[in-house]
Amino acid sequence: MTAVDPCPPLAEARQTRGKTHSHADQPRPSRIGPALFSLLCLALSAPAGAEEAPLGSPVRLSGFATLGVVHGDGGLSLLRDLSQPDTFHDGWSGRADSLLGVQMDAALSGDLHATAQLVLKERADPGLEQSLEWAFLRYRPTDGLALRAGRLGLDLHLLSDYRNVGYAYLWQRPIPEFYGPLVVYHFDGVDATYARPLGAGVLQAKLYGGVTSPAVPMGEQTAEVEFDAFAGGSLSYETDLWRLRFGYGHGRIGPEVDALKPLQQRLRDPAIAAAWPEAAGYADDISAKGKRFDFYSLGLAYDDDVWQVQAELGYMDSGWQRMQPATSAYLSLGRHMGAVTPYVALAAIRSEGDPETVTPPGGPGLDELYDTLRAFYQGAAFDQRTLTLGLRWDLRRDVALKLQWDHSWVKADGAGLWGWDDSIPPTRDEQIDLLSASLNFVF
Amino acid sequence: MRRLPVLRLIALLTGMLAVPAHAELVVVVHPDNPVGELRREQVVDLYTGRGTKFPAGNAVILIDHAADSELRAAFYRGLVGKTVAQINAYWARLLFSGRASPPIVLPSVAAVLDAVRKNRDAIAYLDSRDLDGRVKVVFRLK
Repeated sequence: MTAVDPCPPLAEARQTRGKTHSHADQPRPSRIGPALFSLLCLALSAPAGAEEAPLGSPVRLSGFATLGVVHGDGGLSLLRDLSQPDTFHDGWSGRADSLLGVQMDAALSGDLHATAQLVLKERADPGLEQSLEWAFLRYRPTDGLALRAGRLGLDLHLLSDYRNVGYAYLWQRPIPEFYGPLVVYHFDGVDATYARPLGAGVLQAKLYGGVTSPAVPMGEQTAEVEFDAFAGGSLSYETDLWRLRFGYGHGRIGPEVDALKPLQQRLRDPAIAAAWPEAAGYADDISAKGKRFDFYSLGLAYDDDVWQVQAELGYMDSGWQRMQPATSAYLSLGRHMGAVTPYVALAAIRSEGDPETVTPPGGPGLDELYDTLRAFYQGAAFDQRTLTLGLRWDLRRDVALKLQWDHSWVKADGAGLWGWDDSIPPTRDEQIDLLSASLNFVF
Repeated sequence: MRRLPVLRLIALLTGMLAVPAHAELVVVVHPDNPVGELRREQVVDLYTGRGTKFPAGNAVILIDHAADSELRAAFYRGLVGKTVAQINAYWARLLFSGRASPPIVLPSVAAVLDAVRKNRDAIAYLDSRDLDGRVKVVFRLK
């Protein structure tokens, strides 16, 4: 009789999402699905702007793309960040930096706005659930206050929530020493931003919180790391020329990472206990369940019509043995010369302490298990520096060409930002040269 | 009495020196918009996406000229000292991080004038020579 309304209220959809999450052991339906659906329904049912003469459509489609190729020598392969699998063949990759993003923006009223963004790129899990980067409603009740709910970009460091948009920054890719370990791009939750004028600029405070499940390659597998809490905030001051920013974020992993369970089972196997008494202890030690991360960062950027300077300092505290706490920093200097901007950058990251030294098994037939375990501990240890020289050339108002050379010094026990072919991490220091070229579009 | 011709000469000279490619850039709104004058910082805030409302609380409809227009280059250089490429990269960051929406781009001066006349919450910038008395000037870019 009555037609079923295909568009349930958003609040209901969100509740469903919350319930799904609390039963983490059930098969995981797409959490974002219902919320996104409601969002689209809202967008479609929204009255066209209440203006006397609507200026075009209230829905705007836009996008960005990078077409990039990179060549590297040596035994290590560049990973744009740790959510990316190794894409190199014979020293070349056309997939490491290439990506396509499309975004839909809908002005539902003067104060209410909906945004959804889909990014197709090389990632551990290329499915829709991971590729949907944003899907949120933004509400501005008064000037200076913005409230958002849905799937939101993680705003941890200066570039965190636009690092897919090559056109919007200077280098070939976000500095790997700083952005490489950061696998979280988005979270499902809420944020609030309050901005007020101060002196010649604007002071802005932001708080956010939610849940997120990034997928990362781990050995031969893809591990989905479920953070049952990810929250933080930032304080920034921005003028026409300067951006100063302090950011803090805290994440807590919920249930055990599924990809670890087979390894843990083998380590706990009573049959190997005699030959390798330490094994069961390692099974507990590598557990991700309930482990915490804290991120701190301080960023400074300056951009006038001659100089573009940017520097960030970051510290990541980690409670999970997979990653040791690490300090990272970079400094970048660019000079605008008409449409061409040459630049130089220096970057470094160093894990604190050494990765766990695994006691070798005393019996035969356990070498492979031993290697897997060593790779686990060393796979995310970082100790490297990079010198970068490059050039950005704004060919047109919507296309930028970038050429870049990187030289990296990578310590034997700190190659965690790279992909490698062998089952165990490199055992000696490496130096790697990368040559990259890309076209970066917005449309 | 003798100083008057000198003053006139100075005025004449500075007047001549000050004639730029564009007579003057002005920021305009609908005549019924209650906003009086805007300060430079307020215009900067609106055209950098940091502010989204008029002082009275109504949400602004931000209007811009075509991406390759000389007016646009002159406006952003005069207002925030940046090139169009820098402004484009800036808006790409704001748009694709979901922070703010860039201005609505209209293809011609006539279209911009028309949009401001017809939308009470619209704001735009123009060459002062294109003013026709049916929009209200709220800021002069010097």
